[in-house]
Amino acid sequence: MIDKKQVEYVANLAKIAISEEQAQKLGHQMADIVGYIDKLSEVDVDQIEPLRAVNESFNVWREDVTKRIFDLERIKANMPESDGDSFKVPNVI
Amino acid sequence: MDICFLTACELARKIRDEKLASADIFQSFSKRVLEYDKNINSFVECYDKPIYETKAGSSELCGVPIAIKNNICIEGREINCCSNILKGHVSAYDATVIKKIKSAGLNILGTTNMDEFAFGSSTETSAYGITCNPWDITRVPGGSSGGSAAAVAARLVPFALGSDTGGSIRQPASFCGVVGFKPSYGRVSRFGLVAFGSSLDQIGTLTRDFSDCADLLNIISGPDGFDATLSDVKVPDFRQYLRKDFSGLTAGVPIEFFEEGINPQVKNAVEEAINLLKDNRVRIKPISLPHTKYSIATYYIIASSEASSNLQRFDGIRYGLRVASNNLDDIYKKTRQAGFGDEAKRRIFLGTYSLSSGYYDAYYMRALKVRRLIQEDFKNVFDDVDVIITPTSPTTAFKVGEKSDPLSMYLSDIYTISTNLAGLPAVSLPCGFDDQGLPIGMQFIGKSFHEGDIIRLGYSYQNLTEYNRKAPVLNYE
Amino acid sequence: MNNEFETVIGLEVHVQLKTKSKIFCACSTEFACAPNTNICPICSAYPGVLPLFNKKVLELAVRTAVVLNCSVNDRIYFERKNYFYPDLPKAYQISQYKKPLGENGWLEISSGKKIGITRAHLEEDAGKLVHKQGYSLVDLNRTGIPLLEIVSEPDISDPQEAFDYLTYLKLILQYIEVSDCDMEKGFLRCDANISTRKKGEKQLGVKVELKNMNSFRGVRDALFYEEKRQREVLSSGGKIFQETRLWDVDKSKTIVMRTKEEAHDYRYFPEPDLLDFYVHNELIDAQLEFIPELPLSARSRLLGDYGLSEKDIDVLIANKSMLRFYEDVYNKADDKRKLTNWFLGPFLEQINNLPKGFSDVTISVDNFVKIVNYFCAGKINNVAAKKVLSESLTTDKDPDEIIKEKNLLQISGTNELECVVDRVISENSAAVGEYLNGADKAMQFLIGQVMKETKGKANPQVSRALIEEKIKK
Repeated sequence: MIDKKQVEYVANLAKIAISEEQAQKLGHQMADIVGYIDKLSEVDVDQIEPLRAVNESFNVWREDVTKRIFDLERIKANMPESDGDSFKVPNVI
Repeated sequence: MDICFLTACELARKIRDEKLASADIFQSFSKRVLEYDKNINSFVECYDKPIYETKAGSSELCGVPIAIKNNICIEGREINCCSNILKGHVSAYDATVIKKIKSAGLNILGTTNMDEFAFGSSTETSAYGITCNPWDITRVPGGSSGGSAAAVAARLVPFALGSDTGGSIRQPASFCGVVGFKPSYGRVSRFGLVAFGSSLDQIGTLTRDFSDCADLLNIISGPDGFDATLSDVKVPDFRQYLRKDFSGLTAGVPIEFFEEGINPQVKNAVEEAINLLKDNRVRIKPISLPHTKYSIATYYIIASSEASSNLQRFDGIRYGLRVASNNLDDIYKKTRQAGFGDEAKRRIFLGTYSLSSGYYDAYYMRALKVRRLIQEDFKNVFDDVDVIITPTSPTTAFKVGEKSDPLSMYLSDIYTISTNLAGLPAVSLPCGFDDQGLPIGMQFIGKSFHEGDIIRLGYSYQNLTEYNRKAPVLNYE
Repeated sequence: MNNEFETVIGLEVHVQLKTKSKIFCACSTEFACAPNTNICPICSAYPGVLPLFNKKVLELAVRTAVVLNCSVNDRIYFERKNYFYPDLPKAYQISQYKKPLGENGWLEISSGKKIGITRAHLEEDAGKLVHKQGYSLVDLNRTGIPLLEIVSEPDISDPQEAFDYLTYLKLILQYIEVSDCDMEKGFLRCDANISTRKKGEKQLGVKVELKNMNSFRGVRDALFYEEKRQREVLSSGGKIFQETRLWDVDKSKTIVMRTKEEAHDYRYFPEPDLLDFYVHNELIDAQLEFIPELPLSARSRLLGDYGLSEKDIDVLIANKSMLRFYEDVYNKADDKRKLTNWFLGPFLEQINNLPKGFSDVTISVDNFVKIVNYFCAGKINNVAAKKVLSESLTTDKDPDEIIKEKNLLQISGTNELECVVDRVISENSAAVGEYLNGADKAMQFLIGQVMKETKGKANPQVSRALIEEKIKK
């Protein structure tokens, strides 16, 4: 069971405001899903290495070269709130 | 002749032979969208004229129109993943596949509808409304690339790009009676594809047949210098596999995929297709993928965890929706509350939960380990077989609104999910119709970076059957 | 100070690695550009972008880890550290958590003590927030600049030792050329953890984290303040709380920022957009080539043959290129003792007046040695030598040319000098009289007059001898 406190904890981590009603609904739905995914606990994974990537390549990198390939104006045009060329946000304490 | 009923290859040939002009082709499709898409709603935006100039002769498919799923970035165009949080967001750059498509001389006709951020199997969670299945508009087209699949099926565009994280190309292809191809993970650059599950996502194609599929794969595959997870395995010319030739192919049929939950008509159609292949001297072998039953749980933990992190950048600070407030935390919380739909919120919650302190080992870490077991299942059977044949989905297209319970929706991805977990190439192709005239799809799964095998098998099968040549009748009034 | 307690300090240093481009995109790392000019869709976290790792970052980090005596993990990967903040566009920082690049190292500081290094890991920098009246502005130019976080063991036992550790760490990082370490520009940042316990106790005291120190002196002052505060609290029977405190440089005190450590839940997980990296032996070996003689071994070497005081040595080793320059000119100079005096005297004085100090110096070893050798041989006097040096210091102009242009060759024992001396004696009979009456100062005046007449070219010793000779006649 996912209780209200847990739902609120997750909501705060995910930065999503939810109403009392939504919290309850989400709690139920998540409980259902978590109940289902809990079936993984029956698999014996003691000796198994986690699979982080299906592609077995490594050392994929770039050289230290600067390049301007994108149009800055497009980024500025999308700013919801700005001051000059800076993104504007309320004061952060 | 209605030019909208020609395949991409047929159109390209007519352009090369100067029997058709690409501008006229564009206009014909654009007109058809205007006429029929009001009932289907497969396009989010259909351009009234080409958005860039193409150079004649730049590729085999030069001058042919294509539709793009609305989660692949096109510079200067609105790309919003059908989410309110990105409505009005103009993309700042071209995705690698878009660059490749532009330089190949294809014409982008428009962007297609999808489940919000590709979270879904029915295209019902889009901020632009549901897309209807052209075979029966009371039914869903599947998802999340439902717009692309429906548009190709309805002949509103010759072919389209989609993305596939757990079946999002193949399942709608199956529901709409088209060919949906998901390449091996690392075959096509993900740069510019708005991320859902980064270790699972792959861009792929929705086409009417395997010739178009091979040509389009030729264009979009290969390195770009932006995606670190791209493989350095050489990209072959996929056209070389377009030959009617079953020789030497051994196909495995996993018993687990034909057990409980499968609609008998789907089961029959796939079994009939397997018999037809057997008659044509494809060796058929029963196989077992014992960890299949854990694939959905594994998938939903990994995909949701990655998604919860990937979607954190939608915070109202740099682009997209911002709900104004004098308090920063309020901006975050209210913007994300207003911007994300219910399913997106569920996935974010589930992912955040399974990564959070105290649950990480039980969920995320355990899922990564089971993922290895699932991959090893495939490795083991691929010692003995070249391809695996399964149904694409347990059912044909279901009714709009039929699956209101999230878990039952998740469970419908059972046959497609494990290939994403293992990074394998897979394709869904039409193999019949049910008693209501709805398309049935079957899935071919290939070895990693052996797309050629499933293209050859698919092409050969299509030359024996007519299923992919049938078009839905669009008389909805 | 209360002697029943001891202090335990650990330091977390973030250092910007010196690359041309950012860690995961091709944007420039140039400092002090206009806001949001060094940004692109990748570092400003546009939908659909992917990171691609800058190989140079790994090279510089490996070089550092080796110098810090860390064991370098042969297979590393990145992880995401998730949290929302306006200066963090993706709302996750790509960092290393479970497997840092380097672990279990140590750094020997000048006292000879070895300070343990817990770990050294790679991560990306965040952007900058500029606080205005009523709102803040976000500048993402710094977002994605590569950082190496170097975490020390709690081995440091007092604020001065923390200062020494930082000083030496910075010097070493500059020697191996992985960072400019300019603290004012934020190229090097330091947070400190400090706790107090009764002497002889094994268990560590409650840890307080100190932030917002903008200089090494600030770190030392903050630690001194906090050390005293903690001891006073404990002596009076109080308790130390686990908290983060900010150093207020104006008020010279620490103030509470967060009471009780908020339960951070960063939800670390492997970054799926990047594959693993193998740190091959060849890569490590290639970096060994870039590791020069380190300051402490240069120090012990210089103590032997050069006849330098420890203080002089510390001045020399504080700058690797200056030390190398010193050793080069030393080896070529005729009079080693005079060279050293001249190097540490007039030369350093002139360098200190340059805007960027030694970095502005362009004079070649040969020209420098030429000036010093001329001076030692009496060809030019001290004043003239300084003039020549000053002109050649940042231009590398040939000293011979300067001497010729300015006519600086020293006049000694020639008829010309005798004439000048005769004239000075006859024009300053009062001073001559004073000198003869035993006022030594008068001689200085007379020599001064000779120098004036010769525009500084006279050899002072020769002048003095001539004056004495002539007035005693």
